[in-house]
Amino acid sequence: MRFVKKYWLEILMVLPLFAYLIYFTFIPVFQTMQISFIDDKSKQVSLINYESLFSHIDFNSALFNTIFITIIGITVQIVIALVIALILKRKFFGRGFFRTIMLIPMGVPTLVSGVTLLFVFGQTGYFNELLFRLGIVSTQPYWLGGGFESLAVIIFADMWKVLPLTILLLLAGLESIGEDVYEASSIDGANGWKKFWHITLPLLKPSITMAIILRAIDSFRIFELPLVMTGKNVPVLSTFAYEAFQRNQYGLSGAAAVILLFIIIIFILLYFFIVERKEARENR
Amino acid sequence: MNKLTSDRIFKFISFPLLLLIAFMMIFPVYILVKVSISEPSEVNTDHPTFLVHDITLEHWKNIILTDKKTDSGQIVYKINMDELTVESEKKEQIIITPDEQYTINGVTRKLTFIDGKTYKLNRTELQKVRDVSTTKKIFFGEETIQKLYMPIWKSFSVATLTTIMAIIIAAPASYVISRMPKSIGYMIILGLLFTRMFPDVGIALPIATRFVSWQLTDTTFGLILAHLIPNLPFLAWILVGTFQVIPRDVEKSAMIDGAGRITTLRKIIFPIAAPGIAVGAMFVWLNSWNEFLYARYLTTVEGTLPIKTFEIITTGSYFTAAAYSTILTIPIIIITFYLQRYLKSGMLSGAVK
Repeated sequence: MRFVKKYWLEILMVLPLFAYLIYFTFIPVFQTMQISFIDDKSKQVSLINYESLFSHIDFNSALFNTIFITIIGITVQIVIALVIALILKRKFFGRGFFRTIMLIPMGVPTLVSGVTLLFVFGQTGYFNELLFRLGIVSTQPYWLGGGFESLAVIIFADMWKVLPLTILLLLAGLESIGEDVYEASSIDGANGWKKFWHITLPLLKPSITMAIILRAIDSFRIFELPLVMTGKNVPVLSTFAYEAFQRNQYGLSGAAAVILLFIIIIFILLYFFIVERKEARENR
Repeated sequence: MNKLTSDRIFKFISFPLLLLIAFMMIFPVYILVKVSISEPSEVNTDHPTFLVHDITLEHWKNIILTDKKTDSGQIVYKINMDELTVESEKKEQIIITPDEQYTINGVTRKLTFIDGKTYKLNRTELQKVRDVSTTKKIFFGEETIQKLYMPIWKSFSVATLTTIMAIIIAAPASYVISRMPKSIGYMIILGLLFTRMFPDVGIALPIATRFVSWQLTDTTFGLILAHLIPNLPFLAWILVGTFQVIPRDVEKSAMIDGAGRITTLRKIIFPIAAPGIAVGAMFVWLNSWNEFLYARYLTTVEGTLPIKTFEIITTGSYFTAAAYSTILTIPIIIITFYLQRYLKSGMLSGAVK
């Protein structure tokens, strides 16, 4: 009681935030889990949603697509972002200009980037026209109808959207590496490639790990891009859950959301164990 | 010598690569603006032009002066595959001849049949229709244009009110968290980060069912409540950092001078933190302006600007969608460029989605 009396102001100031988060985040998460175990028809507790989920062909491809987009997308993103960050780290004429250019997609809402890339990758879109003018294709391939090429387009779209963030993350990591390390290695006779392989990469590992995990969590949640660009042709977990919700199949939608949640929680735990624990150790 | 050549090789490769990537980054934005101002005949063909030949402001005029030209939005067609007759909502028969083209840049569209079935042309059927077509008449007829100003106003008011609410709730709380013992504060910050990583679909479902029973769908208030869910932990997370930088001695000296706790907060702490709060607030405003998923779950009739844009793209009005998208993007580009120097790695993960 004395605690409350002494800290009443603090408690009053913190309480709304925590109450809001508990009521609108934690309780809904548990409700989603609850919904996922209730049969829509009989209102009984059952596993029927999960059973029908795993026998649902769209769900299986949604699960596959989500994981595929995450793994391939992140690999490509990190490699390209690393290359660009390495280039942008050097001082050269026009660096500021290029840095600004690279940030542009960040200012485009995800939904709009979906719409725009729809113009580019549609059947009579500009990508096909570019290929046509370069003489690579004579017909117009349809990129968004599903299958591997649509996944590639979505990976490209996601990359276009988040490359600025990844570049900034890696650039921040690169700039925190002191020049003296490089100078010392030059004296020891290391060339550019060796420097990259034995100094830059190991020292950049924390930034890369953080980038990978944060991007993975975002990438699992990908929603607007597949929804706008391919609709049902390329389901991912979140669009699947959304479509089920639209059809009033709440149990099915909840079950899909729970599986997505489960995957993300695994990644959050990874984040804690790899990044945060290391930081905690370093802070000590 | 060795260093010089490697430098030269680096320059030789890096500059074209940089140019290529920069082109890749700008090109889609250019296309968006181009589509919104070009003649339909330049875009709705098998071979769209890359440069704008005839600038037309027709699409912009259409959406800006819309109120005269509203439509239900959903066009109902009847297609008989053999004869290719199309029936519009107003029972007008349109006979499709091989001179007409039926796709809008290759995107399949949902068709609602008169007999009630919902149906989507798949790739091969689309191809069949395309094979017999040569010129460039738009299949989906007149553009379905809807009111522009209502969604803009709704988006604007929701984003602004969400920002204000978020500051009122999150600023005091994050001040207290920043003054907690380090270990506890650290745990709470991690907890906030954790809630930001939840998939929105996992939360949106019960929120939507709850809001339906509270009759909050389609209301501004409901959207504000929903938009606060991801933004509160985000803002609190930024602001804890802001408050931590303010030294405790400032408060103490104010207290010694006889100011009460609340006066100290009001007159000393919050003014010092104001620039940080402003930056955080702008991020929240952007997030809310962009927000799509919650708005989609909670909208049945009156949507925000992103929802409207999505609806227009699903009904197939190509140029209108481009114009809408451009409007949606303008404030964000402006604010993002202003904010870019504040984009540090800590804020990055979800700052501008």
